[in-house]
Amino acid sequence: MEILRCENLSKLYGSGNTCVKALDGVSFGVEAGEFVSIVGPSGSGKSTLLHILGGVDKPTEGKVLIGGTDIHGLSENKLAIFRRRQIGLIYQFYNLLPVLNVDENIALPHLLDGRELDRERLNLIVEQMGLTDRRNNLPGQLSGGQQQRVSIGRALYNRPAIVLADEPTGNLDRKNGEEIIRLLKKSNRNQKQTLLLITHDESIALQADRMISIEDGRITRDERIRMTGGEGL
Amino acid sequence: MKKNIVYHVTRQYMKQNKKRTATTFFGIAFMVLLMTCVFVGKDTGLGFLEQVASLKEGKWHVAFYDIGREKRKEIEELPYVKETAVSEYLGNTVFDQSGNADRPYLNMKGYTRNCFDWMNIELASGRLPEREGEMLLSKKALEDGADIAVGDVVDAEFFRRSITGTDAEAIETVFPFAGLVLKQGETKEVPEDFPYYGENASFRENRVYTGSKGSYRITGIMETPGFEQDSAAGYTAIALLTTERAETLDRFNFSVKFDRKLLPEEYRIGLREIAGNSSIEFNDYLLAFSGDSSDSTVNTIFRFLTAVFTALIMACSVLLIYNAFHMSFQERSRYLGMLCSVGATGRQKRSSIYFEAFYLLAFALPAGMLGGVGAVWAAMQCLKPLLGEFMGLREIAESCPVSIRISAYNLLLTAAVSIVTVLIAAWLPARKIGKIGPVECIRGNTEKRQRRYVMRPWVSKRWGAEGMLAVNSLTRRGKKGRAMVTALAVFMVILVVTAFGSSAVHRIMNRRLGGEELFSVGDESYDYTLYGNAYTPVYEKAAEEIQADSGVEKAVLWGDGIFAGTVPREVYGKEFWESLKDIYELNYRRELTEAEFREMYPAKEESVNILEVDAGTLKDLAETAEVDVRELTDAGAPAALVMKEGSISTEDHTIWETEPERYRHYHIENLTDYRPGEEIPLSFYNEGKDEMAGYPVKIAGFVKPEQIRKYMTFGAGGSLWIIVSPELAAGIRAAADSREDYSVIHPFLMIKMNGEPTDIIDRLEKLCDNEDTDMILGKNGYMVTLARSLVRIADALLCCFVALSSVICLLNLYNSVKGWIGGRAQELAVLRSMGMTDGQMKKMVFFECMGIFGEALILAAACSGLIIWGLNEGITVIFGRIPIPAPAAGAAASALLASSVLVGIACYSLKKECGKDMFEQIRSENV
Repeated sequence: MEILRCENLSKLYGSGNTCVKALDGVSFGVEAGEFVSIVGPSGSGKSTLLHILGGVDKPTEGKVLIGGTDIHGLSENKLAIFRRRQIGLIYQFYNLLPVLNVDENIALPHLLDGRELDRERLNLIVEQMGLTDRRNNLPGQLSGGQQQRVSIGRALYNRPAIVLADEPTGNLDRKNGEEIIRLLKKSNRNQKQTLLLITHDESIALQADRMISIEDGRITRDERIRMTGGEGL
Repeated sequence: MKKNIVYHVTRQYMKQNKKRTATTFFGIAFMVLLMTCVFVGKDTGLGFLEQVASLKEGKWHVAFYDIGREKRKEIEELPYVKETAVSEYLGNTVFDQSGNADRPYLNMKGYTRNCFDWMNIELASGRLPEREGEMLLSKKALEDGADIAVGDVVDAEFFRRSITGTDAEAIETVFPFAGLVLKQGETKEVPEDFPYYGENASFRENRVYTGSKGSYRITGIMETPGFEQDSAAGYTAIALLTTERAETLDRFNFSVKFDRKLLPEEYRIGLREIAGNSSIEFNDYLLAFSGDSSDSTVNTIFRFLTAVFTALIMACSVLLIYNAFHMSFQERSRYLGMLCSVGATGRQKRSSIYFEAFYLLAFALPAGMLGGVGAVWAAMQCLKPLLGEFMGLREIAESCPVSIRISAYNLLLTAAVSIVTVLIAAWLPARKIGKIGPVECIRGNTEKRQRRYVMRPWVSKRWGAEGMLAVNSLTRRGKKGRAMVTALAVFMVILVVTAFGSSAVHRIMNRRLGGEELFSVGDESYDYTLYGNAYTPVYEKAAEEIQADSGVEKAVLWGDGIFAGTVPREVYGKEFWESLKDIYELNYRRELTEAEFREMYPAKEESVNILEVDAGTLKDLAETAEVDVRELTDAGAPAALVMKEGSISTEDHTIWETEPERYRHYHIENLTDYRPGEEIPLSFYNEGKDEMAGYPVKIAGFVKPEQIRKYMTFGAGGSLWIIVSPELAAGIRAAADSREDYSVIHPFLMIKMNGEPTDIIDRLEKLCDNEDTDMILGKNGYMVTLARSLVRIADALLCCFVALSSVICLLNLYNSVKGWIGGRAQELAVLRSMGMTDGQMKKMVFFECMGIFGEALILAAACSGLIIWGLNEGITVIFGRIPIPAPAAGAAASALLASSVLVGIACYSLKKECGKDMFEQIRSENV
């Protein structure tokens, strides 16, 4: 079942002579539970694409359909609610709230939805992320790897339809990077979580079910590496 | 040239961070502007007031009339005498060219050169006299049709005027405005401005020639001098009195200007002693507006309040500049950390902050000074008519040019205070940054605490995620939120303290300068008061017409009896007697035993005042005092309301041939120790029987000044006020045997207008103009007294102070809130990316604002309380006990204003942040 479809996405920055085309007619679809890696050189438009897919940025042209809903046709308010329920975002620089501890950061999207704290789910996530002994610390008191794990926990807590990760290992050492990818893959496999991941690292990209390459805002390659949830073609 | 790399890097950083540099620059410049306003504005304002005041009576400070050469020498030798001028009254001379039969003379005076300026003599045409035998003539003479022009010569033979009573039938002829009572056959000299009556049956006018003559050429026509009376028999003419001639005069008038810096406190006493039997006049108006009100208490209080307010401005400025530095602490610490990592010492890091502060000050100082001078000029242009209005001299003030008084002393003082303020403001962040290591600087992690923060699910359960975010934001950011709390607290403190200061100035000026009468009607309750003998048919008829007039809302009869009755000494309470004994001790300048005091003040009875009010007012007052009004109207069992509070001062209770050591005011909470239900053994003088008539009155209840302020206010005096019903007043009148020509309680009609067009007031004024009616119509709250002028000017200055300090506080608050919201731009964008709606964002910011406001409120309450307590203690030490109400309304208003401003600025800043591109905001901080 296709959970995400983007059609003819374009994004322009600036105007006239200074106009830069970050995305140029990008179209593709993603099946539910699929793990897709997006690769490309710096400035190719990967992050722009990811943020447009997550409803954080708006395309100049084109549509993004998630579960059949054109997300950019929604009002600001509805889009915000859609984001917190259906999208999990993971950033390269974690972007945790500095005044919230680990528990609060992870539970934030759930609490923003006006729901009561699900203590069981929180404990499970914290345990899965290996943060049990750090749950009462603020982000400033954590290492980079720990912060990224909190960021993943936050993205997964609400069981979103899609998790979008923007170079989640870009700021980490190899060991911590591998650990993060392991956690993301685990969630993708065990919970059939759809995952789109941007990376520069080919070895990480090759761990995905499918790899999309972007250059100058266009898809230059879209290849399936293995069957969804499988061990490779 | 050797380059200081720290300064160079700092300068480059300032260039790159233009917005932050501009904010700091404007903060410093505004502080300099404020300081300039304080120092230059004070001098300019006082100079203007002095200038306007001098245009009323003249530029002299004291004048001695008809003194001799010895006294002149004695006065000239006084160290504080700066300049002197001599004038002489030459007398009257016949003015044949006069065009007005009622003004057949010239009133000739001789002035030394500076006297023309001191007396505000203004030329309408021609020139001032330059040699002996030249004179100026009043323009009024020409306006009245005098056949004379510049260049003409007047031959003068001087005489003094007197009158002799010739009316054999009249016992005496009274001239009330000249203060003369003339009997038949009696001859009396008349004052200069005495009118010319021509031939009449009552008296005859005589001329006593002085023997002095001369020819005077008219060199100019002067604007009619302010001292010339239209009704006077002569037009003013002023000849030049040469210095040489002035030296030879035996008797003359002598005017003096003081060097106020050298003026001793009790200079008036010394000058009066020198004057002896000669007449002496102080130019009180000018002295009052020259910053020397002749009252050291008021001056001390003003100096005290000025110092407090200057300190408050300095504190605001320090906070503003400190906050500007503090807000940029993180980014600044990054480049300083880099410098540190390549070997910059703590001292070099500190010098970077000082360099930035003083580099900006170097430009801000001239800019702020220029801005300050401009602000003073603009403020004076706006305040000019207002100040004139307050002084009762609107026309003079409007035509009087404002000269900005910039002195080197003021500029140096401004610069010095600004430098000190910047130094203090920069010292704290410099000290802090000097201590941080390079790693902490670069990582921006200056907080080294490793405490644990437990999740509080009840917070999110109670207030949602927005509440949780707000609470955590406020409690876990350390000192980052403090800037807003202090900015907001200072804003509230300024408003509350100013409200208190304003109230204090009001009370002190009113009490000290006699602006408060013994009893006055509340301005809001009634518009006019008609005084007169209420039992005459004319008054009764007028009262009837007033009550029936369509423009009158209501007219009621009240009555007052000042010192109308007496009570035994015991009726007055312990607090009253202790205060009175204190006053005696201040007068006799030693402690007195109870026996000594009793001997000095042996009176067995004390007087009380009576106030009769109409039935409606009495009902309201009874309700206020929680008394059954029927109890007050029962003439069979007399009962009344009593004003328990009062005040006395060293000025109300003067003691023969003594001077108090200093002024002191006593507020008395309990004038009597009697309780409700007890009977006051009141007695009144019965004129018919020539004896005291007892009329005991029961105390039905007590009223407090604030409870009845709407209707009336009672000034100083220290006497009990007994408020009675018309029924009881009738009983008192009967007991005192009051008749048409004698009344123990004097009735007066209180009139409240309804705004409808009517000519009743015009008709009443005409009626009162007729002396036979013996009636006076007074407009309540109309009189412009010196005290009122000063109080209103003080109010205007306090308003300016509040406006200026509010601007700096608001700038500070705006900076802090903008910094608070702007500093979290990425955080807010992340929250939005995670699905936080605009409504939730607003709610979170609102919760944060409430938290900040709560903290600021506590801080402001503590600080204001402390400052007000200090001010109160200071005023008590300097002035005496005076109840100054807690500025509750001011505090409530300031809290409301502060919270609204905070929420307003926060919402505005949030809206601006939310309007930015979310994606860009998230990326911007990371790149």
